[in-house]
Amino acid sequence: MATREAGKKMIMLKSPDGMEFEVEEAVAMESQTIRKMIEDDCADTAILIPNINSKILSRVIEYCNKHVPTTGATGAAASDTVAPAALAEDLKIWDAEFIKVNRATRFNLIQAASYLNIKGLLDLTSQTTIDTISDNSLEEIRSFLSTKNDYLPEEEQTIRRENQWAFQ
Amino acid sequence: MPDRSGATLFEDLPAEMIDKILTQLPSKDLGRCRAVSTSLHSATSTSEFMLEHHRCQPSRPIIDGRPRPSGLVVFRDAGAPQQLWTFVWDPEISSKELLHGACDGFLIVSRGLRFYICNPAISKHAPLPLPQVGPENYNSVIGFYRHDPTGEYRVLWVSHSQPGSQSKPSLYIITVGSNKPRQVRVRMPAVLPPSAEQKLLNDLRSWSYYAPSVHHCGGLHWCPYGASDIWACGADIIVFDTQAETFRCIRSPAQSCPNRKLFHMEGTLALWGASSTRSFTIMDVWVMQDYKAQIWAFKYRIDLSMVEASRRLYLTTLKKKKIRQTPLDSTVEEFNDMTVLNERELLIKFNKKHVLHWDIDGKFLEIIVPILCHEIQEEDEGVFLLDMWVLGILVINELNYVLSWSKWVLGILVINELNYVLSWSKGEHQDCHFAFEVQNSGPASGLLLGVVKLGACPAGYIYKDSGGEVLCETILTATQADLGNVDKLNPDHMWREWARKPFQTPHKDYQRVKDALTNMVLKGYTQIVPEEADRYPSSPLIFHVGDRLHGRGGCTIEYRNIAVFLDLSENHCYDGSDIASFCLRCNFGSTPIE
Repeated sequence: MATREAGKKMIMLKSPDGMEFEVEEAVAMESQTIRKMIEDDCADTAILIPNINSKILSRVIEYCNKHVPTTGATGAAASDTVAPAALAEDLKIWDAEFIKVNRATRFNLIQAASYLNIKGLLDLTSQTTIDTISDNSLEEIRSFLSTKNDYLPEEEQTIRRENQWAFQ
Repeated sequence: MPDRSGATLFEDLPAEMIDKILTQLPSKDLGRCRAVSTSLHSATSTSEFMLEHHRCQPSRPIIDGRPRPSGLVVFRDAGAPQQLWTFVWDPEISSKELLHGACDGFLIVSRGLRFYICNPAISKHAPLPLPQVGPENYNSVIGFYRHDPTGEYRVLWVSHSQPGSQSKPSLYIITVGSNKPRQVRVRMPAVLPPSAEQKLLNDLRSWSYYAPSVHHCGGLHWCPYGASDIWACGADIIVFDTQAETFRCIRSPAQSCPNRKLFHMEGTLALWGASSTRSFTIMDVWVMQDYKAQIWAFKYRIDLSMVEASRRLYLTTLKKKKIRQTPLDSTVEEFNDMTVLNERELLIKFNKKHVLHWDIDGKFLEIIVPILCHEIQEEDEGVFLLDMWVLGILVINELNYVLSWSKWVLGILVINELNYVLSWSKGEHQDCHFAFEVQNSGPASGLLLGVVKLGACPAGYIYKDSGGEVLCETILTATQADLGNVDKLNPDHMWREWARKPFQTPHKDYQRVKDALTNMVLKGYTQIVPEEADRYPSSPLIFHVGDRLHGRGGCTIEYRNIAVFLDLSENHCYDGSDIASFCLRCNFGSTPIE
């Protein structure tokens, strides 16, 4: 959770289950949705984030905290300067650890990233999903996507035949 | 909505997220996802989704190993060696179809005189209507594109009556999904005289055989394969504007190159040019820098000596790994064609039969063997193609598909490393669309000694069987090929007759030709099959059965410096020593071949 620092504007985010998160404005503005609200002056008081529970919201804030462009001594955002390779590498490792969550949490994170419009988190979560689907068998994909097989057996045979090359 | 356990399901995600994830899945994984559930199947079945998915995927070349049981092979992952993946759009007729174009993942293939559009990803196909129907008409696909304003897929055809007749070729467009061909008035570039219309259409038809048109900036582009085809206007690339439906010309940077070909590279038009007509050793690659201003930029040069040097180097590393003999053992003697995989990697066709995968820095990556029916892959691993005359690599539209193209030809003989004849493919005469069904398709085990051709069409082969016996097998099936009467027939007429007839009845001379040829080789003419022929099976003897020059029923046999005529009526062979007297008798205009 973010802590107050002198001279930095803070924003209050509220989850539907009543938890409140105080975050730096810059961190919150990683979300294009919140950025728009702030820019449209709709963010005087706490912003209610619907559909995202406190557990997921805290993870999202954790992600934004890590990914917010570092601020220099003058306080100017350094987002337009190129991050050193070491820093980028570090972020990559951090991301890989961050996304080691169970399936439901990951889908919730996708939902949250999609609603809040956080590009980096969207890319990270969807790429992880793509990687998981890739090179897994049909049954594994079904179980991963927690999707029920609603084909009749003969229908499934037809579909498998049509897409036979994908099973080779 | 969460399921009973409260967990979020994949299908609960926002639709655009599901689409985003699915469109980025590699095709093969998507194929499996389609079998996961009906909702995923329908989500991935809309044309919008399929198009978007196709655009998100890296371009994949196709290598056409057409005579093999599963014709088209996609070069799957650039960088990963031998990632070849076969697809079959209809197992019943695969390996007999010819590919005419590709656009957005759809292919146009033909079998015989019928054309189909197919989506190999889901094994679906549908027949295409022909612009003109009837035994007198021949239809050629010269372009397949997505019409930008409407999003319709359209097929551009040249339709013509039999060669030699008075009728002119005409241009047609058919929108996929419609049954109504629309004839298009040919509007020529201003620099060309209206009289050039017929030549233009005929040229487009024949150029499309070598390489399909390249779709770029709303235009279909063709480039002549030979220098002699350059138009009087000085421009050598013909463009068909798909919106205005007019033709125009632009200049290529390689007008002096007798061999050149258009393709797609880095999202723009590119061209390779080679400075000699045959067995070229250098290919220069240009890309279009500014399409409107027609400015080309030289990209790089591929030099045979570099490729050969890196092949040797690669071979040394292979030998260390003790990999068995491969087609790599053959020296790279000439280039035939190339296409790009990405900014750095190329596929180059060499020695008319192999394809290699090469890095522009000179690193030899691998050899690609066009084969591959997955069932027989194991035992057939060494198969390569022999005597492919016009096998080429081609790139189609933005998709960068690569194919070998063997359209113009006579049918292909496939032999494996041990020279076992594996199969014949059908042949297709350039003018006649002449579908040659294989009579003897069963594997004949033996050393291939020669190929017998009837005109441009394979008529048989001579081989030494496993017991060392020299045998001849003919596959003559033409009904009008009365070898004794060829002089009465106009050659063109003759070809047309054959093209029309169904090839069901074996030719009446079948047995006679077979016996005569067998006799001939048994009677000592095996001498014209020297030891070399065993070592160079790619230089087979060429037999022309039924020589129409002198109107006799028989075969001319050409091999290096020997020409022999086999007179079927007398069952007699004339060889080099008495060929002079024979020439006098038959007005056979040639002397022994030098």
